[in-house]
Amino acid sequence: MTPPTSMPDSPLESTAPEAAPREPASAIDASLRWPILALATSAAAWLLAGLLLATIAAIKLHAPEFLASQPWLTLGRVRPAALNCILYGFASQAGFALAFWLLARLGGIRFPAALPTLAAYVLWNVAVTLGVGGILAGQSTGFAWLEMPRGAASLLLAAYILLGIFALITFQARTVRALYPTQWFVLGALFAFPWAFGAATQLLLADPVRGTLQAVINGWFTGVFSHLWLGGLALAALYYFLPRLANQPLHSSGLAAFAFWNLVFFGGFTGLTGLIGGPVPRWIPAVSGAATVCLLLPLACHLANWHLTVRGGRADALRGAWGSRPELGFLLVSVAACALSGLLEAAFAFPQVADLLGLTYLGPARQALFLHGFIGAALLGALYVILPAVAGTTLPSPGLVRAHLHLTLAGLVLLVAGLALGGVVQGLRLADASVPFLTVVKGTTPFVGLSTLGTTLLLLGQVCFLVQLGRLLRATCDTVCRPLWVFLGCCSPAKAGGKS
Amino acid sequence: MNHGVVIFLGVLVSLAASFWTLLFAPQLQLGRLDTRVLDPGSPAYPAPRPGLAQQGAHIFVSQGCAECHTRQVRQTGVEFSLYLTDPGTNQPALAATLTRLLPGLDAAAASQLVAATPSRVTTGLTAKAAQKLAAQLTNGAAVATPVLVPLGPDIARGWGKRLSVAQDYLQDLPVQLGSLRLGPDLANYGARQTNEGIILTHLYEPRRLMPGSMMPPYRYLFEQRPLGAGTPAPADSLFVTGEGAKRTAIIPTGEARALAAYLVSLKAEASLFEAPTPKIPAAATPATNSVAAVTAP
Repeated sequence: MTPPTSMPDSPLESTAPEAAPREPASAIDASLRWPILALATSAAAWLLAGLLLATIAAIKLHAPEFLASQPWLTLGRVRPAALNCILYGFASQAGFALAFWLLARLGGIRFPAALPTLAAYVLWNVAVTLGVGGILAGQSTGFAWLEMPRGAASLLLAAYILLGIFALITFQARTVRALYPTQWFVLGALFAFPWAFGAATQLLLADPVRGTLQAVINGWFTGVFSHLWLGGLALAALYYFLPRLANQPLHSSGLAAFAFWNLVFFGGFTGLTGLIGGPVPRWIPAVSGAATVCLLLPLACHLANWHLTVRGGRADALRGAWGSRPELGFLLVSVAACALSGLLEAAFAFPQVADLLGLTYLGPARQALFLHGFIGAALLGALYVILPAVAGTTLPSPGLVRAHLHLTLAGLVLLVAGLALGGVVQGLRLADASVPFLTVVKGTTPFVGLSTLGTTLLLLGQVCFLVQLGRLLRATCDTVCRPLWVFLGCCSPAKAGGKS
Repeated sequence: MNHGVVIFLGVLVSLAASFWTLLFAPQLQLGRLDTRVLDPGSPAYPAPRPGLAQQGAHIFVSQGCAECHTRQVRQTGVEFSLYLTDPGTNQPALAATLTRLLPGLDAAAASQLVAATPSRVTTGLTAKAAQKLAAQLTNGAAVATPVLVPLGPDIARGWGKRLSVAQDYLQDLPVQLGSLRLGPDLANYGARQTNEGIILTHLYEPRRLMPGSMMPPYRYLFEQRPLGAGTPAPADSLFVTGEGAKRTAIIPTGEARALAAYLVSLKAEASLFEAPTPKIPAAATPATNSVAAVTAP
């Protein structure tokens, strides 16, 4: 396959005749510096907090006496708190950083709303803090992925609306009118979040519906949130950075459009396969299961598109993914996790699988693969490209990026494999009523131990990211805050001069 | 696709489609469910929880119990058992018919089945086979009744007599079906365990009653009151630990009592049209109530 001669959809070069002059990339990056550094720092801190809580929860699963005297650290609170840190603190904020950067860069304009964005960013973080704090304090609403108390959820939606508006303003004011596939995914995600979050909070928290319909709405929300919001952002990152890092134009934007519309349509119907065999009318999870299987179609399109993009070029397009170009490694981890979690999810749409393995550790395994693999790795890989760009410098410690990549990969494999194997063992024994229940639970302990090790490795990798980010922030600050640093005696004037 | 509006409308339409399909249509179906009077004279099912149990429901959510405990009994299918409820007037002929229709049954076992009604003649039948067999066992006005038996590991583990259905959750907010079984299913916990003392002890120290339990202890829901030697334990204490001067009374707080009351209130075994609970025919007189002793062929 020869690469297309023209590169109309490549993020590498400008795409269309421009009515207004395109801003230089460095000016766009500079306009985004503080919003993105702020969002990325918070995202990294929330991911660390989430992984810390997840590690505590994982230890508690095989050592019930661990920290047992603290009400706010009981297992039933730590697990949802960890998940909320990762969903709203990390993934959503890193996603916003990514969305702003992509919209400004691809639109060819400076980011117009840096200061208001910082205000909305503070609001968002206050909401997440109140939400996670509320869960730990025992004010959980009891709905999956929506555990945060109602007040925090309202605040979060308000902050979202502000951030979403700024993103749309950036999009609307673009000087490059032609759209690159990445922008579709970003826009789709931006539109999907308020609809799903607003509808779910309204129907579950503000004016709750009755009975198991709550479980249906909850499932619909998790489906839209994961596939359209988080998934859309991660796909946006992959569609932009894979061609860019492989130094190739995207193979086919038509195929990407087909995949996009399929994802948007079927993605809204997913999320309810967990109710197969549960106390709801059977057609509900059946429709959802059919949609989940249909999502294999866009998945295959993505994979084919990326494969042809990378393969269409030079043989060394992916060279250095595990060494000199670790950000590419993150993207490849994300692609693999995307494929695997899509296949697993489709498998669980079949009642034979869902009946046997539905209520086991395979659920958390799928979730970890999706959140830490597909979403997390895509966002981290993107951040490793975006952050030095907006900071106007190079990454201070490339070795730490490699360490982060290797720890993430190893941690992910251990975490997912441990939980998945534990889930299979658990499911097979649960199905045999002659095995006492305590034996079933105890039989999973070694696998949970493996997953605990995996979570710890992810945590260590995240420490690498935070150290890196700290150094980057400091290097960026040096020009702006040098007088302050010197005044405070934090660093010598000579050391502070290293900024670009 | 160079216009944001196209993408906005596309997302709007497809999300609206899923919204109407998965939220509105189920609302039309499930939203009409209301409490039902199952037996004339009894309260409608499901009945609202008593006040203390209602408070306990909040503790259940607040402690995140649903992270490890599901509240849904699943069933993999049903089969039918056939019970002989009335041997009729011609018992030898009935026994002869039984041995003829059920190949594995010898004459002695057949006459025992006939003598000790109600007795389970056979099990593992389809609805049609059970009806057919029942129609054949009518010698001398004998009566055989098919009984529906739910199947599945959940039922076999004693977590419930039937699958959970939407009707069971009408009094719950939030409905927490759970997605991970690290502890036993709690849909019918109150049917298995009615002793609040045992429940409270289990909450305080799970391994005291169930060695090796992986459940976290909820000691912070209890007051540990030092007693010293000789002081009698307060009336509301659960038990006393330690010896001599280190004697400590373990006293459940209101939260623990509410949680226990909630757990006792968890029952979903009422026989519903869409989820019948197996009704094993009762004996005519208590003296012949020997269902358990009779083994099926």
